[in-house]
Amino acid sequence: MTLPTQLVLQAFLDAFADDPQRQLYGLEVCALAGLPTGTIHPILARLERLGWLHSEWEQVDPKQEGRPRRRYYRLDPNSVAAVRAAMARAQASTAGLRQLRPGLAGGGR
Amino acid sequence: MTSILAVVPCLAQRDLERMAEKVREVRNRVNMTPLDRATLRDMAWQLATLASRVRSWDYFSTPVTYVSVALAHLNVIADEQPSPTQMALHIAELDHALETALNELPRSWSSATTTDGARVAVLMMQCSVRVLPVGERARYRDEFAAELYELREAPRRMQLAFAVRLLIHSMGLRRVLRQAQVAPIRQRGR
Repeated sequence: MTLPTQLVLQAFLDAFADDPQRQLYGLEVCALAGLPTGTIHPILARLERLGWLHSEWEQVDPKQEGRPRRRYYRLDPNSVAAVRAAMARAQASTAGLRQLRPGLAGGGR
Repeated sequence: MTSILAVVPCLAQRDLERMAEKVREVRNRVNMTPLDRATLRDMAWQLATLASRVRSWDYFSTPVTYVSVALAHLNVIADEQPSPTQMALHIAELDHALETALNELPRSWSSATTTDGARVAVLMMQCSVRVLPVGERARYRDEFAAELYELREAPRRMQLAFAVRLLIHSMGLRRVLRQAQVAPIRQRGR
C-alpha cells in the first residue's frame, strides 16, 4: 500500500473515530491527509472498488444552493476492521522506510 | 501560457456567439408557417449541443438555463402533435425563454472575457475527464467541477495547480476505473 493511500485511509479512520456517519468530499480528504488537491481520485476510486469506501452525491439542489453538489465519501462500517488490519501491515512494512526518511509524507506524524 | 490565457476566453465567447445565432434562428423558424418539424428537430439538437458546450465553460450559465427551458418546448412542438391551443402556449413559452436567453447573453460575454485563469482550469479539467471511460465521465465531470468551484476564492495559481494535478492523475484514475469494469466481466467468464 502506497504512503498516499495510507494517508487517505488514516484520514477516513480519524473521521470515522470522530463520527461514524461523517462523510468527506475530495478537498476535505486532501486537507486531512495532507496531500495536494487533485491527486486523490485514483486512490478513492480504488478504495471504493475494494468496498472500503462508499460515495454518494450530496442531497442538495444545486440551483437553490448556488453551487454544484459535492461527491461525499465515507468509510464502510463493515470494513473498518479490514482497513485497520491493512494499515497495520502497511505501516509495519514501511517503518524502515520512515526511519530512513523521516520527512517522508506521513513519516513525521 | 499567456497565449493560452488569451485563447480560452475567445473560445468561450465564440461558443456563446454561436448559441446566440442559433437561438435567433430558432426564434425565426418557429414563427414560420407551415412548421417544418424535421428542421425544428435538427435545430433543437444543434442548440442542445451548443448549450452543453457553453455550460462546460460556465456551470451556472443563465442563458443556458433558459435555452434548456426553450428546448423542452421545442421538443414538444417538433416531436408531439399538440392541439392548436397547446401549440400556441408552447410557442409563447418557447419565444419567452429564447428572448430571455438572448437578453442574458451580454452578461455571460463579459464573464467569459474576464476570468481567464478559471477558464484554463476548466479546460484542463475537461481534458482530464475526456480520458476516462465514457460511462464514468459525467460523474467525474460533476465531481471535479464541484471541487474546482470550492477553489473559486483561491488564488488563480491554486486553481491551475489543482487542474494540472487532475490532468496528471487522470491516467491513473482511468486505469483503476477500467480495471473495475473489466474485473466483473472476467469473473462472469469463469
